[in-house]
Amino acid sequence: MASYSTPGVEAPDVELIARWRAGDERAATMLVERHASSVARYVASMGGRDGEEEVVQDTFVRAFGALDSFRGDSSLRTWLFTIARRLVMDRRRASRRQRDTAELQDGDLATEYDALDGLVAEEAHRTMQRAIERLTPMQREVFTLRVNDGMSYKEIADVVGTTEGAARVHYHNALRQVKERLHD
Amino acid sequence: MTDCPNVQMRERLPDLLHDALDASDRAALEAHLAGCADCAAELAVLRSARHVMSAVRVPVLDTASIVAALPRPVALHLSRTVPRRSRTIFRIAAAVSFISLGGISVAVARSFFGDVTSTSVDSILAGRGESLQVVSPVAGNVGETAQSSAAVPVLTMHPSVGALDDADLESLLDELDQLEATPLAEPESTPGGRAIASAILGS
Repeated sequence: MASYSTPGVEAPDVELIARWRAGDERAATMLVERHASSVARYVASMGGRDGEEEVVQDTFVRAFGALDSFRGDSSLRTWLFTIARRLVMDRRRASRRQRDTAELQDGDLATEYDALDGLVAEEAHRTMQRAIERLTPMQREVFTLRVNDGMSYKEIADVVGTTEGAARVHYHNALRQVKERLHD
Repeated sequence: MTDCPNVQMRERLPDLLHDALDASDRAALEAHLAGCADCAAELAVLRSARHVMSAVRVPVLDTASIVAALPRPVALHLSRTVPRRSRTIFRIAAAVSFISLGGISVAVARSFFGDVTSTSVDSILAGRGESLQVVSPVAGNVGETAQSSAAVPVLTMHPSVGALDDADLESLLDELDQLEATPLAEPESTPGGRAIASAILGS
């Protein structure tokens, strides 16, 4: 019989997955509540504004539909981000085919960053916002995953489909450019 | 702003933001930060960037609807094996029901249409030297049993089906299984069938 964590202690993802597999639907609710916001934020950071909720839902549906193939080699969050990224890319490609428009522009993220009332001075906030927006899509994505989501290079490499070394290079290039633009 | 040459410490700055360092690494980094203006400035940049990125507006997610859309772990439930005891009890209950209903049906048919040929169940019970007890549909008192006459040689009443032990029931079930596995022959027209047709048609 599986041993579950003690009350009051947050159960790890692998335990919740096991409970869901055993038929405990509350475990699914806990997993969704735990990860939905970060997945949504990641989707938004990729410029997937349209249908964010749908992408997030599809991400969880696909993940839970394939949980048998989840071996726990990476974290569930990394896996969710990987699925979400593919979904955003698929939607982007479909949108491109439909409208025959150019690839998503960097400036598409501009409206995603709102003023951080009370936390950072508005001007400093805008400056940082612009600095991040001017990164290349890959740099921005890697920088976001490292700084905002706290992922390791290994996890980032898994999500974006690159190597740890390349992820490290993208991160440091992004950081260098952000620093430079903050002092322009 | 210059970059600190201590790459190892710089690499840990995002982890410090996320409180993802163990105690010793955290203490080492904090000690380094106390004397390194470059790393302290970089940490400030990272903290500011995180604030901006975390302020990305995301929709209010309806987690309940997401959960409702999730597939159910059906395969796991289907793959569970039914306990042997449950299956045995089910088979015994099914067999008792089958025998009881069959016996009652035969008794009703005989009382209504007269003699009919013996049934497979009769054969089984006759072969075992046993008889089947059923409540007679024409008996005056409830519980009064109808014993088969000599003219109806096979169908007789067992004193108590419930008194059969597990071994007897299992044996009976095996015989029934063999019967069920035997292809059914096309049923012959019987006087009973003609009598039903006549009764329905009123002729």
